[in-house]
Amino acid sequence: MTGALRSHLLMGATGLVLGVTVSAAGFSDWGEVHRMFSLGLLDGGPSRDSLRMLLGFGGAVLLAMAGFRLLARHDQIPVKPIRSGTISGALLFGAGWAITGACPAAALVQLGEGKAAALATLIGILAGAWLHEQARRRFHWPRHSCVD
Amino acid sequence: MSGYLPWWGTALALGTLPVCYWIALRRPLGVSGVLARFTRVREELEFDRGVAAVNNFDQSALEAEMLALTREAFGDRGGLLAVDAPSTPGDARPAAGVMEPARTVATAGRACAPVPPLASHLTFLAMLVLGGAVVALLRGSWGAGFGAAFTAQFAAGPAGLAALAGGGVMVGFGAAMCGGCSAGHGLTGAGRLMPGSLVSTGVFFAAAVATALLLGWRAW
Repeated sequence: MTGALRSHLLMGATGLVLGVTVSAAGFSDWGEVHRMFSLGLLDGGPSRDSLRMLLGFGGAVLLAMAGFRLLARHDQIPVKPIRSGTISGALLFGAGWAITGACPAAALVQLGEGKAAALATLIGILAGAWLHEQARRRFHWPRHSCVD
Repeated sequence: MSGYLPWWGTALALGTLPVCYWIALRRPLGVSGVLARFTRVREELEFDRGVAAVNNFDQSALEAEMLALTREAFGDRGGLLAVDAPSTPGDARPAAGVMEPARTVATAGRACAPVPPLASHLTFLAMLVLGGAVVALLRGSWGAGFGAAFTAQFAAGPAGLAALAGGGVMVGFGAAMCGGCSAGHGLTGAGRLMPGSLVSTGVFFAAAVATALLLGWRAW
């Protein structure tokens, strides 16, 4: 029971921190996300302000690289190899992210922010995941090993 | 400026989170796969029961049972099973019958924990929603909608909802197909220099930039 409680507490804390960060950083704001992806080219060229989130994400990746290298170098974390669906899947995901202004986490954060229309995004994401599972079974695509 | 975190604040929060999550929970942080579990709740609950059964199982009882079955099948050859006798004197393998436990074979670093129960993943998703609510309430922007930039692009009403639902399908299908989202690939995977994640992250950012520029075509 303590294990289950610990799991709930740590997962809940991570969800809260991630939700607050996504919202406070602007990743749940359609206009901000659009400005990030258009690199400021649609409103007067790239600037420190329009590249703010891109720099934030890039900085986060670099920090995570340093963290994993320093603290988890020998850990056995499941690997993520390039697969047959990697490029086509990423193309779909990127285009969808730009249209909805939401990655999966941001869609939930938007709901919390009282953006009722995000329910359409969330239903779409769940439907997309379900459709992929049907296609995977039908066409015998390999299953990705890990949940994330 | 629109009252959002500076770039370094975003980097600090999003960069430390996947590392802390791994160390505390021994799981790679991700969102799309967690969300996808809720499209097949019955199977996932069954999976949870399987994980719980394995976790609660007595390892030594399992080993004794396997040994007994092996003896039954191949006969008792000496006191212990002589299945792994060294072929040459210099062979570094353990002596006959001495089985090295699996956990000492894979020694380096922390091991990955099994997938947590669906209930704690539900907590995770619920707290993501709460996080958004907290910030929106503090900022006084709760329920303000998608904003002028969105309505200028898609117009409010059914057209906008259709765009969100259609784009959502692309996000859900795409993330399942490439095996991660901006968290699982972008932060955790790219942070660990995983080839699939580095390629995915590069490709989905490029696709998003191209799409955003195409959407803004009218404004050019």
